Amino acid sequence: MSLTAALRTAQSALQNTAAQTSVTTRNVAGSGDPSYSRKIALASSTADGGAQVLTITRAADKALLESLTDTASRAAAQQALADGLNELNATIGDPELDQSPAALIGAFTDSIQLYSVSPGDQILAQAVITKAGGLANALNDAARTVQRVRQDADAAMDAGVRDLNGLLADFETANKAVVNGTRAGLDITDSLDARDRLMSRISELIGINVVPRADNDAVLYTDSGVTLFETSPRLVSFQATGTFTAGFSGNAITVDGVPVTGAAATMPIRSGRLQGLADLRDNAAVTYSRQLDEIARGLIAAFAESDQSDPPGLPDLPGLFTAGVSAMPGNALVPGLAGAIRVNPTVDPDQGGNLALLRDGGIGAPGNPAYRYNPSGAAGYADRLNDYLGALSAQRSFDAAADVDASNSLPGFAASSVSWLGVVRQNATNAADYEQTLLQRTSEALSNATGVNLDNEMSLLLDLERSYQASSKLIGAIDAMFAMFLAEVA
Amino acid sequence: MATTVSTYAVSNATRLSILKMQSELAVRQKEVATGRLDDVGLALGGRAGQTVSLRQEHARLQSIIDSNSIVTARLDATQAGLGSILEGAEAFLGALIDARGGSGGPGMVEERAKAELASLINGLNATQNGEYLFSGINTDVRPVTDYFAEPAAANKQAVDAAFLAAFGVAQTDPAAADIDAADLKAFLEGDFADLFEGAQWSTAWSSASDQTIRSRISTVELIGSSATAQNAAVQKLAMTYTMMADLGAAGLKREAYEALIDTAVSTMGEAIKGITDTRAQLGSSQSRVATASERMAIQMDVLATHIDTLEGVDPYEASTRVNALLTQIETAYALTARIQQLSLLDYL
Repeated sequence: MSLTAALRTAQSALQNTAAQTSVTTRNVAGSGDPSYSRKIALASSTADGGAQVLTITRAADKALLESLTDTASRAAAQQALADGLNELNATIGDPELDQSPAALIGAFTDSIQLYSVSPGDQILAQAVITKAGGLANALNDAARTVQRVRQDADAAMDAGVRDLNGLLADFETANKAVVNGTRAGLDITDSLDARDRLMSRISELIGINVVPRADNDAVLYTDSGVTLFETSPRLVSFQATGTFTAGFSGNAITVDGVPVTGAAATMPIRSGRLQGLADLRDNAAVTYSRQLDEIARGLIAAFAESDQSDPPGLPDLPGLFTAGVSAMPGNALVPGLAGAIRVNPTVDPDQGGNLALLRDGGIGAPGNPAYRYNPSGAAGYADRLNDYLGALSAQRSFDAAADVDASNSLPGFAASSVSWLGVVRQNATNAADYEQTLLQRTSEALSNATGVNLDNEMSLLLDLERSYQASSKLIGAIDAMFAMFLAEVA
Repeated sequence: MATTVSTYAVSNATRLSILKMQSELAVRQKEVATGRLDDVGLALGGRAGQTVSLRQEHARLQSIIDSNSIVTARLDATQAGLGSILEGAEAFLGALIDARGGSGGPGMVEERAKAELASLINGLNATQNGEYLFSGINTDVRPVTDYFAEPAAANKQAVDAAFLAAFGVAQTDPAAADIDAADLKAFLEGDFADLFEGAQWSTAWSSASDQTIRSRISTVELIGSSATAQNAAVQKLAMTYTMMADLGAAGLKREAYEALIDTAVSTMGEAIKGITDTRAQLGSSQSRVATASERMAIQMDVLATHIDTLEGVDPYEASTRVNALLTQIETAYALTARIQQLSLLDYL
């Protein structure tokens, strides 16, 4: 132990103090950044007790980070679904406004009721046609809205996939920096932070599992097990669709060639915004559009006209409501019917039709006497109108693919559709709220565990100042001792 | 349990909770103002369909009550029309009985019969709201042909033809005085009666339909809500008046005239009974409509209460919540301000 050794130790102490101060500065600078983790400078002595070595680590909590990425995925998925369902809800609106298909069916039935007591009144007949037109238009609009929601979800999936590919490319860069830095023994804490940040952003889009490897390398898998990143990113591809029609399912997202969304996916992703959008586009919106199509089919069936001759030989024809084709729809779901349903032009005066056909029958085939329910043409004939009222409240069977009642009256089915949307919307919104709250709590916990506390850094700085002072004083003292010695010798 | 706290977490926590409270405050304010849930579908979930159904049902009952008022008006007018026809018939019956007893010359009775026939035809051709009340479902067609129209109407021609065919002379011919009582009676019960029945009635006299208008007066009841001239009582009434008005009663000999009056009295009796029966039926329809409307009005009140239970918000609970939120937000603001001021830097 010589003075020179002491000098060298004091010198390295000064250097370390300077380095630690710079770490404190970095921490202060990053205190407002939620993805910044606190850097810790660990000073340790070498074997001979001389110089000191400084290693820089970062405060990290792997469990919390994993929990955070999982929650972020789920929250993003539920939020995407809830937002889409809120848009679908616009077709129903507030029940007080009576704008839902169910309420419009009710208003239409009421107009027939009023007409049926004075079947000779042309004004009341026109009111029925007007209400029928309103109902058909509402169904058309609702069908359009559903397809638009699917379209928007599809476009968002396209944008998301583009973002994901960009993020994976950035992840490759960050991962290389970490691995190379580890191998070279450099300070990789900032690179680790950057990589973690990218992981968070990727997890918002698609649920991921992170598997660590040697040299701090990380491999990313989707939460269903498909490789997303392994040394280099795998390609995530998606083909957007131009326009959506009922019955047409959009394309699936493929990761590394494996489809991860849609009915054909063998390893479907379970969380992430892309999953929420796919669920909206392929499940929720499709089921709702099927319900609208079944309502349309019920209307066409209720107003069908049958051969009045004895014995009847001709087929049933669509009456007041038609989808534009002369054949009746069958017993199964017909996709797109809600978009095609309209008031038959043969009975609509605005389109050159004859209002009296509403009361007399023969809307489906105006010239054919076989379909005339009122052969005498009496102005007070109310039987056909009373039949309409009966048909509207009669039980009918509905396709199970619509996921609501298998057998109900038409207004009951329409109301059940409202309930279905309410349940799905409520579930998605509650789940989104819950995941959002959980996300906040987890994010807070992670920040508390790995974030920067300004007051802590300030008091550490005080320590460093004293330490620097002491080391400087030491150097001064040693220098004075050398000077004294040299003064004696010289 | 975290033993460290980061600056970011502290400032963020209060910020996020304030945001959440503010958005809840907006929702609650709306609920206090409207008394209903802010987002009914979201709050009710699976029961959203129930409230839609209840509203539909409410509107339907209202529309049936509205249409019932039209049905009631029609029934009332029909009933009133039949009422005045019945009065005229009873008075005429009285006059016939007097004439049988000898008072009142045949000429007076004939004039009176003509007047009553014209008034009967007018009454049967009454309209309301553009619809003929006694046409059955042929509401746009005049039910009864005017007997006294110029040129001669189908019904008058038919009577003239039948009389000529039976006796070889017209009603106004003085030779009609030779007609035998028995012959006249046979004619009245035979060919003359046939004129007022079946196909001959429908061709010459009445264009009404056999069917009456059937209307729905409640969700489960369908009733006939009009009357028709195709009615045995109306036919007999027309027959009696025509008999006395247009068979040359003034020119007949005494026995024939008495036979004529006898037949008229018995036919009129049947007619009056028939009209009274029809009036009774219409009366029961009227009361059924009134009962149905009352019942539906009560049902509507119950439905309105149900709807309010589902969609409504207790105003006291809502405004209490609003006040609590306001207090909470104020406290959060104050705390945020104080915590931000706490820093070691102030003391270095």
